[in-house]
Amino acid sequence: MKRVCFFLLLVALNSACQNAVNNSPIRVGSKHFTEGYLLSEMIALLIEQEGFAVERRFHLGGTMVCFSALEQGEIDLYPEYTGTIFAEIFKLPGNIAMDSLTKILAQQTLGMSGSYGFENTYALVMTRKQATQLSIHKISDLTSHPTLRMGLSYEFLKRQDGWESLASAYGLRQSTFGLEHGLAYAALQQERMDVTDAYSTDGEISFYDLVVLADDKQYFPDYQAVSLYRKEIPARAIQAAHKLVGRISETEIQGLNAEVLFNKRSFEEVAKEFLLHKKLIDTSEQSSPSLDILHKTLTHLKLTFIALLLSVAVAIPLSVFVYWYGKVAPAVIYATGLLQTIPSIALLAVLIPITGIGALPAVIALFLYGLLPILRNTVTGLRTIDPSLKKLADGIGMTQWQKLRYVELPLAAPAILSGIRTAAVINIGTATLAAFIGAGGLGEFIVTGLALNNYELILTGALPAAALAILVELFFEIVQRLVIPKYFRPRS
Amino acid sequence: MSHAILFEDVVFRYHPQSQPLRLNVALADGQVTAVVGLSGSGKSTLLQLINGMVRPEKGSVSVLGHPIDYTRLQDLRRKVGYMVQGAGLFPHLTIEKNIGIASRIMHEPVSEERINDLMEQMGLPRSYRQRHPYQLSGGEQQRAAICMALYARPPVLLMDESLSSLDAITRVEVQGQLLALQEHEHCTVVLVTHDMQEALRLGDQLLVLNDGSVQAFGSLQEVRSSPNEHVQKLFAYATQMKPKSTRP
Repeated sequence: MKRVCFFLLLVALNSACQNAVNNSPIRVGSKHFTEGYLLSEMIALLIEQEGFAVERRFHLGGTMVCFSALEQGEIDLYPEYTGTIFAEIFKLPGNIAMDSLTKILAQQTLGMSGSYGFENTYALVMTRKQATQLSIHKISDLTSHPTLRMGLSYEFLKRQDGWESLASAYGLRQSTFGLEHGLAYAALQQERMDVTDAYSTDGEISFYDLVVLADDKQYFPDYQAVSLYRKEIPARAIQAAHKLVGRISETEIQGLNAEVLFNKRSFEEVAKEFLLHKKLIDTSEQSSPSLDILHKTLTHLKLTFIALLLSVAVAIPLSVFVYWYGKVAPAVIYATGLLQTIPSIALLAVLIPITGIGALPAVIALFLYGLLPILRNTVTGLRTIDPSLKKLADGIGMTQWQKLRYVELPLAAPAILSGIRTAAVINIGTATLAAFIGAGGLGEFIVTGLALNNYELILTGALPAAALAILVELFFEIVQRLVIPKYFRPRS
Repeated sequence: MSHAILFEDVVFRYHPQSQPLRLNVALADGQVTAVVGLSGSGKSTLLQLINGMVRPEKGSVSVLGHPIDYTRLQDLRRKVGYMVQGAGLFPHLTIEKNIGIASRIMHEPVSEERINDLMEQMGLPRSYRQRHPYQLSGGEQQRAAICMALYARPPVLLMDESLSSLDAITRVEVQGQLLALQEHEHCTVVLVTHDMQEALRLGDQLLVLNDGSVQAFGSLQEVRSSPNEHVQKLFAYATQMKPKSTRP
């Protein structure tokens, strides 16, 4: 038992040291959607070309997660849209010039690049067939067709610059219903609805040959694609990222999005190909995908085991306390049980304002989830020890601590170990969700796969995670055989 | 003859409503006292009063000349060996670790010589030192448990039905070894048993408990000639005779 703990401690220390040695790589963030991945990958490649190490912290949920990560210095830069910066982040009404936005950002020691050359605005789209039939070309044309069915994404229905203010600006009276954005294009094709909201650069627009209705009253603010960055990162890195400025047209980005979405190619590959095509980078070496899986698996294990060590370090003393002072038992077990019922995604979200993004909140969440199984098993293990052995220990004059050390903990060891085993397997599964907050691990494949609707990618993450869970089971099976002598197994 | 254990006007009960156990007895040094009586007569409680596992409501218990200091029970228990029914050994420790555990809890070096010596006297081969209890037969486990209880040379040894799970032949063997060892170590033994044969074979003195009070106490002859009806019944059943009082 001692040896195993020592080994686990070594593993944790080793990984902690490795993290410290890396001389601060540039951390590139990305929101959780196709275009975000493409742009972030391009920026990462450009910075790497300059000889910097780059840490890719993609899959960072939405705008607020990314922006607060940038503010708190958890990431160094990420691509954003000007309209989003002032409407969603600064909650400013109306349109604004890029210069004034740059000034506002400068107060927070943040910098903003020029536009990449395209705008990704909200737009209303409909099929070409229907648009021609009804001769609708711009949003104001919709006022004369109040019976059209508007299927809108939940985000657009809720946003400040979303449906409600758009409808009042144009005087639209159509009734609306909400649906998942990914389903909207299919629903349009099947004529289940007539109009939906879209991003103007969505690959689907050209793929399905949809008509983008002109924003004739210029209701939507500018959504120029730009890089947001922290000013303290090396100037050469900023310059490298700025190479994208003015280089991507709206048609080009639509094409790239469609390439990932419909031809099922990886965003890394598409991004690299585009930069090569534009002669922005010159190397074409491929990173090995199997190494990538190995690397992510190691990160996954690291997260799980550090969290597990912490759970063990807290849960076992807590169990002894509960065992000695039986009255607190229901309260403590109830409290840890309550932690267990918090959905993992919610817990991670709650932790971000406190700890930022990355490995720390992930480890904290996994640590909390690991407490209950270990606590419950240890307390049960201690309570179910043959009372006559406890009496014997008292009778030969052991102190309370001696009884714990020589008799109770060793006899409860099988139960404790099975609690740790349960916690480890739970953690392997839960750790896949940590990718949402930039902690890395096998979840990255799954999260990216979900965003790109790519089942192969989802399986690339899910299968090793499942295999890992099985391996951890086997590992503990072996540990149990080694650590727990035969006297606990039934007599043959 | 000095007294190893002295009960002075001791009253004990588990619940305010339950029948009290009353004791006013002195147990002589170096003797084996066999405590007999029916189930629930208070035999085990008598032992637990000696090592402080339970505390009397009234009166006092003195062990080796001093009243028990209930704030320093660990010191007392290290001088009083204790064997309970069934579990005499810790299942997760090897035989040598079990026997030498008293040294470990007192932070002293384990005496290999003492372990070997005790095991030899109890007829246990040295090869058993590395074994775990489950690898020994019931009789061997009891022998090892006796070694463990006597390892630290306790002046007093308490045995609570320790041998009752053994078969008749093994029990007689272990009893013999125990007696030899007790004589050699010169320790005071208080032995609780429901088996009259065992009490008669091992006891220098006999103490008969019934309904929480001492019915008879003294040498075998003294107790046997006691007019107490309960005592007579016990002897009668043990020797398969009709009770004396019903003889013509």
